[in-house]
Amino acid sequence: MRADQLASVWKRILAYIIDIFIVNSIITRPFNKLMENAIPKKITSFLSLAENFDWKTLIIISLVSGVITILYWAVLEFKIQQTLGSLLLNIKVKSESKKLQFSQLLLRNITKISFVVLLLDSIPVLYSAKKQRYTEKLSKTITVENEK
Amino acid sequence: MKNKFKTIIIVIILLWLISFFSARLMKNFLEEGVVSNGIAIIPIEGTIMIGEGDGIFEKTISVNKIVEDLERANSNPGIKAVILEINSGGGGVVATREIVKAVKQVKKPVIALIREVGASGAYWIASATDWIIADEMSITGSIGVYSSYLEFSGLLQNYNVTYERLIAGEFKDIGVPYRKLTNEEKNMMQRKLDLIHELFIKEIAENRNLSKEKVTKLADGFFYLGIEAKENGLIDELGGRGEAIAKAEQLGKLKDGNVIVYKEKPSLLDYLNKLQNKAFYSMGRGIGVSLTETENKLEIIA
Repeated sequence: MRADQLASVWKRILAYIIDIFIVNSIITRPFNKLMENAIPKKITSFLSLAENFDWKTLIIISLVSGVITILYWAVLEFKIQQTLGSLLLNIKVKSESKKLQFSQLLLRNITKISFVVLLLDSIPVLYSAKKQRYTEKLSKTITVENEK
Repeated sequence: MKNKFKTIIIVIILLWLISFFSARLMKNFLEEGVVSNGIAIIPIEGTIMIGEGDGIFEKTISVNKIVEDLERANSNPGIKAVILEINSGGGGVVATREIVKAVKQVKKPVIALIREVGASGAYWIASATDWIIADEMSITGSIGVYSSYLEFSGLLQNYNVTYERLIAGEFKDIGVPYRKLTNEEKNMMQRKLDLIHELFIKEIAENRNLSKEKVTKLADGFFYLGIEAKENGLIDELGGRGEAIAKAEQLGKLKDGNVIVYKEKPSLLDYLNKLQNKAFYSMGRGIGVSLTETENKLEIIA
């Protein structure tokens, strides 16, 4: 049995860009107006900036839209092992051990709740043998080329 | 491949629907909490203006904020009635009329509660509501229009300063404070003010279901105390917030209404204004006391 070829970093980055575009422009778009309302329309001074942000609203919206973002990846990878971005770049997710479980996919995608957290999670991709993020190592999943 | 695309589209649509309904649910919850039997109190405090004022020496309120609050209350199914809590001496004509229009578009009972002052444009807004309540000593009425300003031509002349008039359009510089108005110009301005005054009277008469003649008699620009306004039909009831809430419950057909005040969070500038106002008040008081107080003391001078 031929070993799976690991997906290149650039393909993975491009796939992520396509997916995050879909998530931001379509899926979480209904939250945009709420976000706008949480940000003051008139900033009287930089000192008032922190006071006039509706922090409660911003945190709640970020959490809810973050969960929906994670579900985009987790549900699609569970159903077809691919998202739209990975389908277009011909890569897919695989479990290292058993059959792919939904809990593995939730864990591997949990850092997509925030770009900064995802960036930190992705550091090992640059040096690890299997090009895995921290959460991919924890969830025992890898991203490979989709052999036809 | 086709099946995969189909799955992706279905998941995207489902997730979008979850987002849509979550956002709707969150909108009401975050802004007012989960409300039922709600009575929204919208404060109208300060001079009514179209844009945001500087707020340094004068408290102002923007039309946009009030109209947004009215629309919010109107669209929230948990809000059953609205109280406009008014403490304003009026403001710009266009600004006032925009609020009047927004009040009339609210499909729920709207009650006006006049606190210290609800005069001129602020009274115009109150008249558009379903019921007006004011304290016996509240200041209201002042159904009139003014456009007065300081004219400095005499002062400039004393300092040998001349106003060089360069215009295209005969009346372009009408109202400029560096020259006197001509009689013709005064008459033209007066006609404009009379037009606005007539419209003001007409709308008050319609809103309050009073005859135009009666309102014209009352519309000499003078203010009325709450007790006088009740007698002449400009308001409906004497009272305060308690009475306003009771009326909102009656007209909104609710029992034990939940009161939600649509208050703007004060910014650092608001706090600084408050401190500044206190400081200026103290300064003024100190100067006044030192000018007016006399000291009587016996002195022996060698």
